[in-house]
Amino acid sequence: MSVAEKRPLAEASHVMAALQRIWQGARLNWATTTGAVIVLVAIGAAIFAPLIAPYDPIEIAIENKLLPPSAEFWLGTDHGGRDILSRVIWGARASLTVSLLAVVIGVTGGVLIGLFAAYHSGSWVEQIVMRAIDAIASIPLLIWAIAIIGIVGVDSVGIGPFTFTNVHKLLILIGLLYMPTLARITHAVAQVEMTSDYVKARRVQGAGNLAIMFGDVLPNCLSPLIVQATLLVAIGIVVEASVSFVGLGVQPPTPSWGSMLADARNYVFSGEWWLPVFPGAAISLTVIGFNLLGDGLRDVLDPRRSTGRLLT
Amino acid sequence: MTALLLDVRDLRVSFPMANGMTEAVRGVSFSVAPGEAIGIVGESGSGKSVSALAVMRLVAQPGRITGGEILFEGRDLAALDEKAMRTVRGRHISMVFQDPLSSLNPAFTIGQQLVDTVRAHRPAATREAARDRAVEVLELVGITEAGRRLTSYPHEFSGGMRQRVMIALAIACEPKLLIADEPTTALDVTIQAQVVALLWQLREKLGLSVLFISHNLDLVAEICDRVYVMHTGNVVEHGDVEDIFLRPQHSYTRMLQNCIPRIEGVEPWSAAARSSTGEVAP
Repeated sequence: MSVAEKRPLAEASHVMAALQRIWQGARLNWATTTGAVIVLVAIGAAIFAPLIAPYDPIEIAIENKLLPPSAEFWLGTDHGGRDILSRVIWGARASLTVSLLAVVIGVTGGVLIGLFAAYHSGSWVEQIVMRAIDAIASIPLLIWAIAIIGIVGVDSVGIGPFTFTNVHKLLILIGLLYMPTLARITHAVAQVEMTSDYVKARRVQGAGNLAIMFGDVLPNCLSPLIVQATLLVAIGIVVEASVSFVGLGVQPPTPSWGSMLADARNYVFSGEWWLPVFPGAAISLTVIGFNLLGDGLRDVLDPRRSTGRLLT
Repeated sequence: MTALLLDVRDLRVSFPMANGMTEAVRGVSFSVAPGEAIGIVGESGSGKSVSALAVMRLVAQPGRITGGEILFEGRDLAALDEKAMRTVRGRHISMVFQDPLSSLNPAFTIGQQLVDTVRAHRPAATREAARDRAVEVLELVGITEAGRRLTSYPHEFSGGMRQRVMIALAIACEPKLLIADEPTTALDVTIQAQVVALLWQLREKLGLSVLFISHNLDLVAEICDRVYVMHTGNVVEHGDVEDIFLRPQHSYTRMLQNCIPRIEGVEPWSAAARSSTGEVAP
């Protein structure tokens, strides 16, 4: 029947409308603005790295080894004579690719699992799904990541026509590990929304289950999901840096903030402070940026704290 | 005798409990003729709402229809599959609920919700056509500047306005039967009168049949031709509204009547009482 077939379009427009509403309602305070600016700068650095990085981040120039910050090398050079600024800019790519794509995977999977469980609310299906998710979530993300990459290994894996480098493996893995958190949030919110009168009213109007789940319930779950997604990006940056730090993440010579810190470990006490400080600062600043943005969005989106422009 | 629009025969609805099934509706029969307004009155838990939801085949899980026929235009709804039932809901039979504050999706504008509902049942309709229809039904339910209000969110409307929007949503696809489940209970008395008057008008204008469910016998008397009185899952009395109201046979009906506070000296079923509540600017 036509009713079921035309829904996906309507659902897409529903989700867009909800995002638009959030955009319109976003009155940003200074903290949120700061966060947004930091995030935009980091994303800009990642996208335009080839254009803005002053030097090649990989090529070794041993004659420039361990130079302090100067007019020529703004943030100094590392033990291979490579410009730290260039490496920090290129490092944003690895960090943000992993953290942003992981969140995309996590949100997609988490939302589907959460809605699925909420749809089967009260049945054994819900119990199995949610308890499995609890089991996965009971082990910290970082331990999962290190354990699994440790088992699978850091080499590229070819599956059919696709080649998965370690970065790909890492981002898929982190994405999978985000799913429990996001599925739980979706499940909790969707369960409440599903008992609401407007869902009953939609049924009376002849809407099908899929249309109700994706067209009505999901848009009402978006606010907490967006906030959580922003905070998970920050966590992703730390996880990527940590895994790279122990040598299981981004492989040399590709620059990443975590592997730069790992390299800098040997110079912490020998006076070359610029080696650990700048990648560390990049991690901290970006994480703070995403956290500020997430907190700001929470203030705007939380119906109890906003002034009623959004959800009543 | 004209063909009945809705003919419910010996309807039974049960809910599984720890110790077997509990029947909430125990063999209830009622009928609605085209253009007729009938009322079902009864206290909470008398089975009136469950009966109405059963007609829509939307009895809350794990409850289910365990017997009887629901003949709508001669077709037994109780035997339809879910897919066919979806085209009946909204398109042929529509429903308005008690609480207009929560019956609209808070995330979307009134316009989006109306347009979606129209297009769900008329896939061929263009967005513009659906929008025009949305404006049309909003005007029909008495919302001024309907075109401008399309972009408003539910929380920007008052309770009475929201109930009007709910009614607009319900009649958007020109259903033949409107089930109103306590549509005025959550509203204050003046707004109640307006909503009742609106239902009355729509019935006249659109030839809509109305199944009005309430615990308030006075309200039912305002708009209904016939009344069924329900108690503990059974119809205990039914008949013309005047008969029920002026000459109640069953003790329970008399009890229902006595529980409504009266103003001294005004006979509730009188011209004076009707004109004091039944009129409203269109």
